[in-house]
Amino acid sequence: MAIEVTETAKGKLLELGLDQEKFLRIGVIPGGCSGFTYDAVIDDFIEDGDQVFFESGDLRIVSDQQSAQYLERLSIDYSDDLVQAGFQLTNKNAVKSCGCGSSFATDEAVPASGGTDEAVPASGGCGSGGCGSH
Amino acid sequence: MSTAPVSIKGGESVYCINEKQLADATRLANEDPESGPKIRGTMQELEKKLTRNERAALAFMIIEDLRTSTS
Repeated sequence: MAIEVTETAKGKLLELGLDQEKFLRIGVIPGGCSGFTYDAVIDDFIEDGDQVFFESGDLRIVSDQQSAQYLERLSIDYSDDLVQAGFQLTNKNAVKSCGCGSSFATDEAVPASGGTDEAVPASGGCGSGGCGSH
Repeated sequence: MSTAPVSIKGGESVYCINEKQLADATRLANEDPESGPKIRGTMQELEKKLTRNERAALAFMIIEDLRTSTS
């Protein structure tokens, strides 16, 4: 699994408290302007079916099997720039991404949320409703 | 004991701009004989006075203000 984490992102993640118990959980769920969006949380509970896909010191990246296929060629960076602020999760396999970079699309179907094996069509909009589009 | 997962992504997106809005804004700034010079002149002044993050903060504040006010 080719996941790239920049030194800046790694430092920021460790500042947030990652250690041998706490890890970064990344999931892919339908949503955002382009179909997929990454869900990235700090978690400390390994669920059935979870796998560790990246490990470097105290930084571990864990994902469920359904989302794992979308971690290939994932890049995680961190920016202080207000326009592209915070953690940037970029999928280099993406064929389309929305303007703010928060969502992407690949040639694959969108996985259903909740870890089932059923694929569902991509949903539209940015997912928040802040723009009033949904 | 496990704790609730904490998101690192800064929350959901708040506002988005569609392609037509951006095209209209670009046309107003670049082609409109009355508004164009005012917008471009203000942009040049802001680029001299403010840092990139200050301009971003100003832009967000202007959008927020436009969305919440009627004037």
